[in-house]
Amino acid sequence: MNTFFLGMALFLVLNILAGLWRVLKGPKQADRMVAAQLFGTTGVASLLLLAQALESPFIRNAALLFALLTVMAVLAFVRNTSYGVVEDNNDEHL
Amino acid sequence: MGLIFDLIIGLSLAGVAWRIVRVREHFQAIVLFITFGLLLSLAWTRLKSPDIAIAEAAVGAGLAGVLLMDALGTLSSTRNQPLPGRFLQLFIPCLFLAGLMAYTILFIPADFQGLGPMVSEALPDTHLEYPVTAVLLDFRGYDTWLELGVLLVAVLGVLCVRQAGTIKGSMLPAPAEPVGRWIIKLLLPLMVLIGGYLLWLGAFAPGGAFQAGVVLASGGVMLWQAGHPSLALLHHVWWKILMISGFVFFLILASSSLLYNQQFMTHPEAKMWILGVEYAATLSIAICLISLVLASPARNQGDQRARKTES
Repeated sequence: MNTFFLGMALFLVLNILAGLWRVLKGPKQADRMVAAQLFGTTGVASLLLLAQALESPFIRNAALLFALLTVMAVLAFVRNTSYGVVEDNNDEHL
Repeated sequence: MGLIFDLIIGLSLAGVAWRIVRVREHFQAIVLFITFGLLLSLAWTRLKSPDIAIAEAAVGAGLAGVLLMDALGTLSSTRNQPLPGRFLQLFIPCLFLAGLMAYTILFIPADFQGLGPMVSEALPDTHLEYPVTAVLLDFRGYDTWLELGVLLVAVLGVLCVRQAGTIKGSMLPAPAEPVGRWIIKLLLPLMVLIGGYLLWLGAFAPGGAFQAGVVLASGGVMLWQAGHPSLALLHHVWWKILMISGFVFFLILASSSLLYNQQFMTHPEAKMWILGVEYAATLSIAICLISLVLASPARNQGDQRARKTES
């Protein structure tokens, strides 16, 4: 059963690697930010699976923190873009 | 299966790190850095170090993103490609250092058990239940004490760059969009709750002062993002006192052991004192980190631009 959980976690990590394509290619900064958020969600799931696979329940706290804190970067991003601090080079019509 | 997992995590960490160094666009580097934190947290999990995984989750997901995103305001959005000569100049020393570190592995005896047995042998003396807390706050207390000092110096550095004595005057307008306001209302109490939970957990399980301090700091930064003065509400004298409380409490405790005719940094009544230090350290870590974000110079520029567009 532990191998199954580890395999599922591996699948989620591969998903993150696939999502990196969106971070590398963009084209908009918002696309990159949304990809990072997706990684946060996937990371929560894979940490929970790892907690089960490695039988180490306190890893769940790391998952809890990711669930709680990933949104902070988005808030900063939205704040900065609405202020015009982050200059968006790649798109003219946001 | 475990080996494949570790290999993929390791390779993607190296790949993402390479891209962070090489990419020209700062924003992409920031997003990759957040991803790097996540992968690192997974790696620590696999290395059976939930403490570091939790710390990495708290710093990587929360504050690092906000700090870097704010710092972006003062930088140009792209950077120049480094010269090829410069690349070699850095690459060879890095390779040398990495080789040196790899070389040390040869000197580890085959039957080496790590420091674990030593720690568990000495653990009853501290009256603590959790070895990592005992190492951080008792056996290696000196390191932890100086780390609190490093945080203080970081805040001082930011204040020097900004040429300011306090963190006052850093108000933000409230988020205009309802989603932002709603999510802050929802998450802020949870952050305070989970910060306290991690601090309480630190006495007997993975968690503790640093993790709790980072979560509480995230709460403070979130409050600030909601357009509240947050930490700037504190009178500046109280702000300074709370900021140095962890460092000073540690120092008082360390020197008070001299009165008992003992060595520096041996605690009488260990558990109570250690938990006291942990609570004070949490408070000052949280306050230092909030001050770092609030005092970051990027925001001032943002304010000026916002004012410009308003006028």
